[in-house]
Amino acid sequence: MRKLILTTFFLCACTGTVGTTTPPPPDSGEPPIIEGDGGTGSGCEVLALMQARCTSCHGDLPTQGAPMPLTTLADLRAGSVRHPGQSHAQRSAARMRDTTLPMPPAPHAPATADEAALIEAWISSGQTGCANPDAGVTDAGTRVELDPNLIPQAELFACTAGVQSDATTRLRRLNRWQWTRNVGGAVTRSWTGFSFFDNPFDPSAGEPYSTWATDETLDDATVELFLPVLGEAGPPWAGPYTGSNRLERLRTDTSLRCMYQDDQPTQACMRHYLAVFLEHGVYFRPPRTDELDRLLAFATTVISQEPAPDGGNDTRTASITRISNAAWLTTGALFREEMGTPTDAGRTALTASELAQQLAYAIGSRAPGATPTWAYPDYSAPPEGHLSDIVGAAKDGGIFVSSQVDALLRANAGGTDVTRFDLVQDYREGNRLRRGEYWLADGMSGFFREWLGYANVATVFKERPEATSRFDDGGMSPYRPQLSAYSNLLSGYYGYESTLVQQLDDVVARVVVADTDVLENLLTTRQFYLASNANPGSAGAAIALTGQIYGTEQAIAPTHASRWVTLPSTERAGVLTHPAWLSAHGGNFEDDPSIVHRGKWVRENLLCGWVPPLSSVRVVAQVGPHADDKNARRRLEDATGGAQCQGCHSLMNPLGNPFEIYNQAGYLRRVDHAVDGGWGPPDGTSTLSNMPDPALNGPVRDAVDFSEKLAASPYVKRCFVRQAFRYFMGRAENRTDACTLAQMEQAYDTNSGSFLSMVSALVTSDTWKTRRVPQGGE
Amino acid sequence: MTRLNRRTLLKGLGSGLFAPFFREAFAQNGTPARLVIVMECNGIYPQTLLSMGARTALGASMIGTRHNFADVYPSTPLTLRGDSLSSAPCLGSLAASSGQISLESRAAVVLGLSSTITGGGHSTGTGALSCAVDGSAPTFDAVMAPRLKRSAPFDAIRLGTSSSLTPIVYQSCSFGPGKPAGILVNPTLAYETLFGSITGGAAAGQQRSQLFDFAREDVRVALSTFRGNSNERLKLERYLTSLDALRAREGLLMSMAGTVQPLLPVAPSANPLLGGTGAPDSLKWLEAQFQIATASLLGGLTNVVVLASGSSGFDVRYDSVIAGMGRHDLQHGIDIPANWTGITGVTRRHVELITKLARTLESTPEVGASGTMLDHTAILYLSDNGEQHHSTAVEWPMLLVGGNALGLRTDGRTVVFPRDGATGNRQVSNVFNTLGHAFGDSGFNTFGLEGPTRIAQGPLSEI
Repeated sequence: MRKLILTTFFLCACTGTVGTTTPPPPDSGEPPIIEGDGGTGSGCEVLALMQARCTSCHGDLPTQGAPMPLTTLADLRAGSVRHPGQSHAQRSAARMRDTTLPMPPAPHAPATADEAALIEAWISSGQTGCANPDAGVTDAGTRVELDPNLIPQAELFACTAGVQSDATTRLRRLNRWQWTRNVGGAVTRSWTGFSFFDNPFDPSAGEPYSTWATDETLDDATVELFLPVLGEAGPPWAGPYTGSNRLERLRTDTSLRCMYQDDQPTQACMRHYLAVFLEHGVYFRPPRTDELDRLLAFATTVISQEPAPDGGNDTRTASITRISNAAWLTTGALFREEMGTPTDAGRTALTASELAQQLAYAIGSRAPGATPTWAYPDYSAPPEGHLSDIVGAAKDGGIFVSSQVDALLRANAGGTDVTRFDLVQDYREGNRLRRGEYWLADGMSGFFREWLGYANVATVFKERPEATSRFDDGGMSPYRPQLSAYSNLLSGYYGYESTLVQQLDDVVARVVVADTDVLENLLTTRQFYLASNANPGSAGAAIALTGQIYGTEQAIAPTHASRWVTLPSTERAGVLTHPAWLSAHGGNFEDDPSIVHRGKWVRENLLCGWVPPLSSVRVVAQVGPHADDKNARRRLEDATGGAQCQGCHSLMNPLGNPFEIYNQAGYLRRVDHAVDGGWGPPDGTSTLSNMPDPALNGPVRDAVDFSEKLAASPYVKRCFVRQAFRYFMGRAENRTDACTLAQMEQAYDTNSGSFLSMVSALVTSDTWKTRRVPQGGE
Repeated sequence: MTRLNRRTLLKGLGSGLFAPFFREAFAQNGTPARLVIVMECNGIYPQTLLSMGARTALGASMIGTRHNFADVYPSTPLTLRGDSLSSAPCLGSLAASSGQISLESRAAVVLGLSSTITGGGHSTGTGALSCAVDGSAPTFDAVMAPRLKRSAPFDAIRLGTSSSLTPIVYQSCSFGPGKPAGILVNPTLAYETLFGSITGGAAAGQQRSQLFDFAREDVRVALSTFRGNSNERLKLERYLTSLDALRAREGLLMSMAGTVQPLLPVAPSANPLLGGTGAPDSLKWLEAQFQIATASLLGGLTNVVVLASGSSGFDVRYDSVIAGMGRHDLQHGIDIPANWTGITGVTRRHVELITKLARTLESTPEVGASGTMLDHTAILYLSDNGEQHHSTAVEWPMLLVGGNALGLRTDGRTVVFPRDGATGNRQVSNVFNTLGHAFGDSGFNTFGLEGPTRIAQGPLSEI
């Protein structure tokens, strides 16, 4: 459960040397200090000053509220985002002379006049470099930012002909969702028992998307937690009616029967069986000879250790489970390879299998040929497995042909299906038929879920979710109807209607399947998918009042057409006004600083801007106590109005204020706290300044107005391109990806805002298909 | 209660393949030491731990029926001795009863400590055990686990309950910034993970060893031909290291199986605490987790245990105490007598589980040192957010049990520190510093990342 909001950032605790002394020897390891008349303004002197006075906060990964790194002269030469027209050097000099907002900030001594003069001299002398190696610091010119949001966006779209991505070959450990799907598991679960989805392969906390596998491996605790879950993957391979899943391949392929029916299967039998098992049940590519040899040897040992036949299948099932467990602990099973085959000048081209895996995981969050699930009366996929057309393309070479890759993407990314067969692994027909008719494959919907960050809305606790809305009658009973409806929207416990997360899934799917002006429509659509409230039965309010969070109590019939509701254009506009997003990025109380959460999300995910991490906070981080005369905005202003807080909060608060027309759970407010302690109208106004897109500067009426402005911003569109790149490539973008990013943008623009065209440009790009070979020692 | 003989229990384990482990363990100077942290989610009220004597000393009329009363705390630390801790509303199980020894002189109550850096709220996440902003620092259990491990197969075991529909949660414990430590909140998974090798017998142990050997060979082969950069290579190397550790642990567990197995609780499938299909009763599941923890400690499987009730999902249910109500609604109705009865019932039950564990440890002699296991085990009971449902983190009531041989002054005292904001207020980090000293590190004075909000370094002389 997420805790109350932390809102107070403090721009302090930067270490730095104060005073003026004689510079130490260049290699002494002591911080050099500027003395006397401010120096000559050489690049080396400036670098020394920065190291002594700036970089403890403005490091490669800025902390303590610092918004950008200042570790190289290139950083100083770069333009200020918040003060267009000025360089960081100019801003640095200005802040060093600013007695109101001095830099370095308290409690450290402010810069001396000599130190400010040094920066100014460097600017006026042409911002020279530092070529003196004895200084210990050189200006390399090109920096490698530790966070992609620190890279000036324009540089990421400046394609230089001939520049290829510098991303190297890599290994990517499977994540929780992917492994579950690969063994034919559901991603839903109940209180009791284990499911495949209980595997411990959650991505590391620092990964922005689940597709990233930057440092993911398996520590001993992970292996320990994996083993009890893994044990269920083997039995289905011991015969057509063993285990919790039924594999059609085991029923129809008679050549496999010798393995689970013969008392002493031959080596040839085992080798054939294991080859099929590894290709279609574990690796989802043909196994290499050495992989097969090792598993065959292990299997031979396992079979030889079997007790005497017991007249049933249990003994062999146990043996095959042991073999399956072993296969699943191999590196080929747990790590996807992107090693390729060497081509020319230090690059490799991904193999057909690697490309097929990369495409299948991107589209479907599973391997090509991933195990089908038997969900009575259906299989979730043919015996060949999920995304078997991608398997075919790997075999016939189509995976190397851009037009075929584009076709594979479009065929599998999404579509329309009133039966929602795509959900057959997770839900019974009763639930599926109540979903919207537009569907997206797991990988595609996963991007929007993770980018928008709404899938975990149920974990964000809400006190009186209806508070300040027109449905707030002051009731506090835990059995009040409003709470029943909200709770049911999160859990889906009563009835078969969709949950809040699924409702936003469906809104997104409709926009993406239409595939025209996708970003703009995502941010402005008024068509929302609601649950039917026609048949509440004994569940009463839990079903009947699920429209309240959208501001409506209208009757919604149990039809697709009726569930699609066009909400008032003055109240909602797109996904950022959807209750699932608002609640996921809202606080616990209606007067909590949801502003910070929402503003931070916009800054980082729609503007690709940098906000220093919360973990750098070293002070009590709380807003003041609840008060009748203070709404969320005023509580936040009281807590963060100080100059020491605004370094960070000015990046977030103005972007979050427009959403104050909604409460913490996404209900439209009817009233809000007034300064006299009574109630007044909600206030969603904000004034935006220093925005990276100048067109966004100026007054904003509310979240509806804000969403429409964001939707029209080409700067926001580029950030959207970058987010898609990050998710589907599974890594951060950098300047060497500029040509691919530019191609993605161009594909989006020239195809009327087509998301699929944008992704197609990526999955057919050189960046997608090749890797740089790492250099020796890298 | 039958007095277990751990000398017998561990007899014979010091030879064979894992002899180096034991040589290393017994070569360590100093006293055997264990840490057990029990966390109650979402608030422990000071009133529940306040003895009658302490109430009188602080001013009973001023306290009245209030659950929080920091305004009556003294301006200098107050230590009350000789009081009956069991007179506190939720500490009755400390008292002696038929066939059970008193633990009143083996416990201490601490009131008045703050930890505002954590922010408060419904939960502070990892803040409670790290004295830092959520997610920004390692928790105390993670810091101590490698120091206290000695010969135990597991550095630490982390068990709990949650209202989340998942068997592993990542909210309360952390190895460091952005590195949460998983807590097993499904007792069945916990049982299988911790005891699987032991319950499976020799054949199962051999099979697991073969499994790890096969996987190790596969990784070695992969490494021998690997062409990626050092970061990618490190992924495989770390995996191999993990498999090596598991292989070694497997052998250790197998060597301990014969003596540990009799200590194990009933298997989950037969455990009446784990029946049913709906949302579980947190108290029953927590009791099952205590059973696992107790066996793990007695069997020497670990020296560090965290038991977190309501981690990463505090809205747990306590149907055996108050039916049909989650923690949130229970707390919001605190002014309803039945709810307060339920709230105190939950805390009381948690303390009962602690005292049951403590008595089991007390009845078991320590190996390699004088006294009992309880003498060498510090049990800390605290909340994950502070003093109430919507905490401001200004106070963290605590109960300490055991650890007398470690130097802890758990002699039945109640220590009340000046309230938050007052001169002389001390912080939760000081308790962890105290424990760090008790575990043998005299330089353990600055636990946590409190920055400018740190009031004082070092341990608390009062406990």
